Amino acid sequence: MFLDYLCFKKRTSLVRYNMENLSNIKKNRTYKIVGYSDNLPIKIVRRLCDLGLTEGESVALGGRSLLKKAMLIKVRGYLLSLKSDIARGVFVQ
Amino acid sequence: MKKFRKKKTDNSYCSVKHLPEVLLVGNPNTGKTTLFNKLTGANEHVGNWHGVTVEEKGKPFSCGEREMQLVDLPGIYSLSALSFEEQVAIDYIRAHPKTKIINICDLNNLQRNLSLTLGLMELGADVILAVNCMDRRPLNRVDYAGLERELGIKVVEINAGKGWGLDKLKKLVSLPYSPSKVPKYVKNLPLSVLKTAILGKCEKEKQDFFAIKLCERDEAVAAELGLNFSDLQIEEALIQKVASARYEYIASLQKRFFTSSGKVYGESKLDKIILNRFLAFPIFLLVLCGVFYLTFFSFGALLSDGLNALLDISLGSWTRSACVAMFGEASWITHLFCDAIIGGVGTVLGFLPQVALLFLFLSILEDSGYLSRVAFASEDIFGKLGLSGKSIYTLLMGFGCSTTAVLTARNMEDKNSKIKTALLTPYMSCSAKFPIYVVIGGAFFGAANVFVIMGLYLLGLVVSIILSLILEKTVLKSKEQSFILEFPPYRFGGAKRIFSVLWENVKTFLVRVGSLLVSMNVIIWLLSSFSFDFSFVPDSGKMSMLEGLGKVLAPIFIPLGFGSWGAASALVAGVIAKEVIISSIAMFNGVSSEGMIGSSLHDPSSMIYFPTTASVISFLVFSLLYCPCISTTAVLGREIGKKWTFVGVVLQFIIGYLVALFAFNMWGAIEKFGALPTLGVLAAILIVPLALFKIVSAIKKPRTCRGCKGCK
Repeated sequence: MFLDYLCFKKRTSLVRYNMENLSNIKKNRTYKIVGYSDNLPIKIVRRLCDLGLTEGESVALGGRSLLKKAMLIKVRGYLLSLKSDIARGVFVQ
Repeated sequence: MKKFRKKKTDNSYCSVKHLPEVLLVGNPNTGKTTLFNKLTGANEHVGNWHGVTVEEKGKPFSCGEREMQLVDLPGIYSLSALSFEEQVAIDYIRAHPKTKIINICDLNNLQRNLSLTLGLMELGADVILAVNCMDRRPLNRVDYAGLERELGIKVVEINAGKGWGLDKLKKLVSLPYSPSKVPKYVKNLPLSVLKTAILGKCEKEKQDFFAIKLCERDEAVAAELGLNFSDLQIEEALIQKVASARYEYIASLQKRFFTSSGKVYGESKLDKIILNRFLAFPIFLLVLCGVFYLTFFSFGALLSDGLNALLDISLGSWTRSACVAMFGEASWITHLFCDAIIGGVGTVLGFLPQVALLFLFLSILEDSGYLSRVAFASEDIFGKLGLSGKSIYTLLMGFGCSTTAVLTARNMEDKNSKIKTALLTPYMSCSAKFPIYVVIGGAFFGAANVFVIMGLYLLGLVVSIILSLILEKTVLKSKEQSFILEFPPYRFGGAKRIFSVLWENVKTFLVRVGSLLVSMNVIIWLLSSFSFDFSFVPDSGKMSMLEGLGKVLAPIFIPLGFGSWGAASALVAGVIAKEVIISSIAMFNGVSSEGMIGSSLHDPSSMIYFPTTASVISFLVFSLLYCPCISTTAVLGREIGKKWTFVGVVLQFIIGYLVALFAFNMWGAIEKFGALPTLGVLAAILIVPLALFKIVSAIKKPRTCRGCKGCK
């Protein structure tokens, strides 16, 4: 029964990642980008790379929206917002 | 959308085609339009927001002895587009290969801005790097001479807002065209395989550019070359390699030529409250209510009443006495001037302070950079409606003028979202509809008109939300949008900017009233004062042309409670411009001041009158919803295509009619039976089927497991 409750509460997506991704980052900590998932559309990966989210670059959390569907990150000295679904495809350490 | 075609500049400037062109390219929100305005003397719209400029605009400017055509383009992050306005800019750049490019970079954000500069240098374009210092306390300092030596392109420091550095920029622009060298890191990229594949398909100078674009898997470029990605077998990680190479080069430049303070650009202490997860949206609603209150009720109403009194005393009575003295009381010229022009237009003119104030507040909001935070806060809610947080800009501008707002729908990345956003904009009650509510509502509701007007605005919002949901579930499903948006710092323009914005809006309003409204009123007056055989109606007593046409349409409005031909004609005239509704009512009822219009609407003997408050409510609701004005319809046709514009306009008529019918009957029921029973019955009618639907669908749905850790 407790497991049922967990199932109900967690609502995680069916795709699980072993590494931490950008949508899970916590406040007041710096992370380094290590790669991109295959699930992200090419257009988005290209745009994120053009904006400076390249391998080895450090990012930090700026804030989240009400339902946590969008998030704000600090990268390359500026603030960028993106959807959490897309951030889920960016792996960080 | 993917073809690189020469796009005609379809704006009001006469683009002198034989002048050499200079393109303004850069990241969004870096000062391109500000520089454009400074160099050409134009007055294009600027704002501290990602998508203010949405189309190319060209204007000639003098550069020393030569005249050149400066073209302002929407902001882009790289030469691969994600949204519509970026595609406009990239198409233009690719369609004009041998033109000089002024690449504007923001001094505080050089790393990301230089990525575009390097992209342009890969293209081999003649780039002049103009580093724009926009804030009083810059975060970086740059060694311009060193940067110029290293990159091999001309670099100049400017301040577009204040106009510094423009002479040096003009000197550089007037130098002859010389393409830039390809940047140094390109040698180290694994491009040889791709270069052999594109041999013979493009010019030798462009080979590096095309090869890099193929690495980045740009479909537009592949289509242009007639290649397929599956044939080329490009490694997916190459996209990241190219970007890394660019940024590593930028990092090396940074070490040698910039000193940065390490602060994050755009971060502010205010954001702790404004971007708080729970406070963000309520704060926005509060700001919006504050803006509306100040504009329409307290401060704005004060100014408006003052102006009305002034106009009554000065223009109204003076013109009347002058006309009567010159032409006599019954002459048609007296009628034309006093009723049509002064009476009709004067009513609308009294709303000048409120309209100007509204546009001023909207422009302050735009300039402050607050809109990005609002877009972020509303992204979740709008996502559920199939829109994006970026739509908030379009919808907010729709409260000012729908025509300019619809253009900004190009910020959307997805076509269906763009269509939805554009179609919903007319439901945001624009500034032209406001006089209708004040005059007609004020006559019947007195002080309670505040609530009526609030209710009307809310109704517009609610109807648009429901429409968006329906469209999202049925015909206009949006794809997942990325909502990649950069946050600018908070900026507050000085008093000079406020006065110039105010003056611009006052001028636009006066021009619109003076030209469109006066001519529309004269036409309507002619139609209503002359019968089909051209005899003057007050003298001959025959039926006027407008009465004849209006009587054909009037029966449609009988179920809504205002079946007079005058009201029908006013609404038909309102298709051209919404202000005409109130000015034609004033003209038909033969009154020249706001107070008198109010009392004439109660009087059954006036040409337009409302028998019950229910008919007033349904008239107000119908005029809020029924159709966009003709200029908005024209822009919609250009932006989303004729098919969807037609669907949208027809839908608006139907929705306007049905909602007005519902409002009329509900208000009538409330008046007859009282508020509580009516609302109770309504709630029962709505809630019971909804509850039944939820129960049935819950029973029908098979139990699915949501993938938890271990299921027994």
